[in-house]
Amino acid sequence: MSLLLSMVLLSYVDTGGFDLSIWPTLICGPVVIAIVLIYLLWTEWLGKKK
Amino acid sequence: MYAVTDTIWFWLVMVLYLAMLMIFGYVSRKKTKTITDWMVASRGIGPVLLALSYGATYFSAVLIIGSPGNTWNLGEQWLYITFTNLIFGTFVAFLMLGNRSRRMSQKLGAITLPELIAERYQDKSYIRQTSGLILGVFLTIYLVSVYIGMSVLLTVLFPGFEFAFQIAVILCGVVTVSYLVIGGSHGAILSDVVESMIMLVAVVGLVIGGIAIAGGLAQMNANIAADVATAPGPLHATPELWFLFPNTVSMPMIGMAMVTAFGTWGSPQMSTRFFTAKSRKSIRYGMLIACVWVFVVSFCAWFSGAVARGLSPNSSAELASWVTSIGAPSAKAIEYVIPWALVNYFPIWFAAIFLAGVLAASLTTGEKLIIVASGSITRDFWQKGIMRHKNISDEKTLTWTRIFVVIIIVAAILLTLTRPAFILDLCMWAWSCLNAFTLVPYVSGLYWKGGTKRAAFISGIIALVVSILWFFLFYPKWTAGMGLPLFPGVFTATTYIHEFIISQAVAIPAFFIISYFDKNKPDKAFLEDLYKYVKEDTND
Repeated sequence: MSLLLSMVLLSYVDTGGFDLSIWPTLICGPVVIAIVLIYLLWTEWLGKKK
Repeated sequence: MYAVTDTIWFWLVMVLYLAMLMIFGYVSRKKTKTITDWMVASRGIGPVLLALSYGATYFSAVLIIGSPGNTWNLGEQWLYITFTNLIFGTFVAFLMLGNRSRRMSQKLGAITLPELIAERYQDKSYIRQTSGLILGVFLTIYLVSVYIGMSVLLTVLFPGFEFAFQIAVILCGVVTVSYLVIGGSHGAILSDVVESMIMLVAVVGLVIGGIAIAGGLAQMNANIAADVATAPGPLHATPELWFLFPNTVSMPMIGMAMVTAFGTWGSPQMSTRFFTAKSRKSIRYGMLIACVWVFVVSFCAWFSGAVARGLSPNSSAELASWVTSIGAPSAKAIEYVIPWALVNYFPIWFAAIFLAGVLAASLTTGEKLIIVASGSITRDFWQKGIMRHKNISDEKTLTWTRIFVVIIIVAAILLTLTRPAFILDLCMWAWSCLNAFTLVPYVSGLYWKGGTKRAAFISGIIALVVSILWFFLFYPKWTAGMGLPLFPGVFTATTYIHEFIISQAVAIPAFFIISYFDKNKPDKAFLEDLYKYVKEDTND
């Protein structure tokens, strides 16, 4: 929900030519991938192991 | 013949790809001896193949060709579908469904989704054959939409050649039959790797090249603003809304986002990817690779519609003129934005390689659908369904599955040749109907012991009926003269609530309410044993 709200808010910021519709998506992608990587590091190597 | 097909690049890519498919089919035949080998690649797939196979199954060539028109027409908000594709369609799907599905399918010996659901709910009478039949029918319809996606490309490549579409569709069917009948899932997964690489390179090249050709991001946006203000369209009067979310035409995007994100969860061709995984590590590492791939391809595919529109301040007029010149229907101009951009603005060699690559990838897009559809009919509906008392062997079922591959492809080709008008909507409707019967029982069954077989069956039937009825009652974009929808005017193209949302809104409460009141509770000992096995290797 907070992600959705930030998407809406950022869309309305005046960026002087650079629309922000693409930036939330471009930022979100690497953030999610980083979360996946951290999750993998924790579960497979550093944290609880099988 | 159009310039693109005059280049050696085009034919080189096509010939190489077709040769590669035949080699994959031949190489895979040695690994394909049993129905398990054929359906789930012997459950031996590692993380890279798993991830790329998931991606290539998730996004067909329809995404690259058919989808950017939505961004062009309704605004850059369509980029936000990347969020849902990445987070819910990939990350959460792998995390929540991946390993549990793998373990549960192993324990129950299930190689299809209907089989998994039927065994999980210990039903031998209704669920399996019903879901097998439903999956067989709607996957064939979905396959039609995939083949139709190719017709757009073919009209571009061979304008004025009357039978180009028919010949190409039949050729695609023949090639698919050849390598699929022999190699099954092993062959399909190998071809997925190449298809996924083609898609990745194609869309990234398109976006980067397009922005450069437009003169940079700022110039691209200025061109878009100018074109939106002058060209007819839903945002013509308020062009600034094209760049914003939400705007007056956000409903279709939200519907698409929901369908393409959560629709993967109950789609048999997606969930059976997890059945093919070798181990928990395949799922975990595959998740990372899949997330990267899905993010890049989804973002670039949806963004390419904006890039195409930003190539010129009069892009809509240029598109309309070009579509008329190649003899394509002008009402469907929005589906030609990428071919238009490629042929008119990109170097000919890039356009040729891109179009050949996407056309070739279209051939293999339908293969998982065909595998699952044929398996649903032969194994679920027939062998373990209506003929379960006859003890039909797996070998005989494999033979019939291969025969049904041919039947399904022929049926899809015949339907494709009738050229239904709306590719993406047909595709999404079929996807919605598939999920109506499977999504809730499947996902709930992985985590909740309280679901009953009666709830799984009845909620699925209710959701399927709602999905079909909603489409025929309210869908606003039926071809004129068909007498549909039955209630026109309730929704417009930009306010329509997708049937997936409505059917799931019905299925979810129905499943839990029926389970609660059903006196025929599931066998606790069976579920304890099943869940113990599943959890042993989940690291939850």
